[in-house]
Amino acid sequence: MSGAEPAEAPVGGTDQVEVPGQAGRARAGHEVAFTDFYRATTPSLVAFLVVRGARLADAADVAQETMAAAYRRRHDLDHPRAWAFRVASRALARRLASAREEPVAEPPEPSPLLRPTAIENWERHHDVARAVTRLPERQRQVMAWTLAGSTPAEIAAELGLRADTVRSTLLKARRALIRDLHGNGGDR
Amino acid sequence: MNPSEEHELDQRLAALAGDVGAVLDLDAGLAAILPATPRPPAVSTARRDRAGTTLRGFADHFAARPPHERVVARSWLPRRELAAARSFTLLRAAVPAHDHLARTRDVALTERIEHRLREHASPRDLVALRADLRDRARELGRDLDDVLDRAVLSALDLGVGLDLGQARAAADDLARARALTTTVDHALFLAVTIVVGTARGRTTTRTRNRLRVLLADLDLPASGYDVGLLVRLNTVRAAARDVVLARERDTADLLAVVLDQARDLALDQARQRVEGSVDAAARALADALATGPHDDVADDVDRITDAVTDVVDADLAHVPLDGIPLEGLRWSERTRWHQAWQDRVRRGSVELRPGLYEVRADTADAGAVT
Repeated sequence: MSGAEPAEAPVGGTDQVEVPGQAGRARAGHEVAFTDFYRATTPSLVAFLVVRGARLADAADVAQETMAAAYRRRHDLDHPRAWAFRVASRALARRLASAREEPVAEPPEPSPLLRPTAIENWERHHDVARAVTRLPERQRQVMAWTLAGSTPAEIAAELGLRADTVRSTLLKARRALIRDLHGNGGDR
Repeated sequence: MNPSEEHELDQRLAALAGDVGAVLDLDAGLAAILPATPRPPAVSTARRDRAGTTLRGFADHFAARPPHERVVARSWLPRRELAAARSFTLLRAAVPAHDHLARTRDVALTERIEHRLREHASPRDLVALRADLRDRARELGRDLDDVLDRAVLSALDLGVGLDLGQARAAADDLARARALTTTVDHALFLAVTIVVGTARGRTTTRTRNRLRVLLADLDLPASGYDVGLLVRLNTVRAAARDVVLARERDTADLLAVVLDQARDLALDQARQRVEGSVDAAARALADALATGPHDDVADDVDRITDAVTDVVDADLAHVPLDGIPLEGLRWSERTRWHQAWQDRVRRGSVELRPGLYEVRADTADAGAVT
């Protein structure tokens, strides 16, 4: 065993002793584990943020920042996936709030994560991404966490709600989306 | 909400989640974070050691070539193999999306069950509900099967041997496990209703009968509707949910591995077809395919396909088209064709919109044979 550790279970708080010659391999092990984690998590994290109401560019930016922070803290995180979704969700909430306060802020540098040519076409194609931005905040949160694979009980714990409320909010969100998508002519 | 509208919404959400992968450059994102990006082990050492450009580099370079070179490339470009590799890549990206879709449906389903039970459930309703549960579980299995079927078709088309039996069995298992967990959820809800009803002194005979039916399905004894039953049901529920989650992960992982292998096989076949070609661009493609890794195959293949499709306003007056498959070429009124081909191309094309034409399949065949 050369020190490679599973992506979901980094060694929390344990200082690994790296003897000369093994240090490179151990670091490579960490990086491979993070690479796997990054590849597996980032697309669903970006989709989660889009359903939370972010523009694709913002979603990619927040996801990238979150993953960079996850890399820095990789030894401290027991559940990096759950951590990433929670941190990204809060970062997005802050970003949306500050955008409302400073509507003329300079557009940020595009994230390296996003292919620049793809944005416009993607946003045009996915009318559901536009439709979610018209949902109330609470419904967007519940839709996004559901799409990220959380159960109503988990969402309830995350958002400080009752599971029943989560379910009825989800139902309302789905109804509203269906109404919206069909109200716009039901076209693709 | 009717089921077809719900299904459509789920599909749109799944498509959104699936397509996100196509607009992200994960390599660039990783490179911005890691001190040095480790390469995934999918590419053999021999491939890694070979110098050459990437598929993206080839696509960019190729797209910038003059129209006549791009049209001639149709005679050697392994389009079928590249299209299959693209298809496998997109299917691979769809696997996590399917997972999301399944979970979203679970929540929606639980919601619907509870609404129906709260209102006026009769024994007939219960039978209908159980049939609905079974159908929904089968539907989830079918969706996974659909991903597999599309992979199989692409693989058969290429003559690529893929062992999909294991993945298919996993999909069936998953559907069964889902049916089990929804039945347990349902039973648990009824048991809670009974316990609460009993505490309030209400008659719950009908609910008890409904619960008995479900408990028989689950092979659980139905003696007494007390806290003990709730604990037992909760244990079964936790176990069933664990099984579903584990199988979901296993199935998704298995599918991902199979589809990654299929993509690599398709790209390898594409490489074999152009390796050793007399055409320099074909050899450049072979090098690019040998270099890897190929994380952006779908986007790269789209670029290459666009480049061999678009001859709008191009001057091809001096390009003989013998032996070149022309199907799908898009051209405009200002595109100039070789004299010997002009009429055939015009006759064999359809107008897509005013001034834009596309060559149909039969003309392409004639061109290839001539």
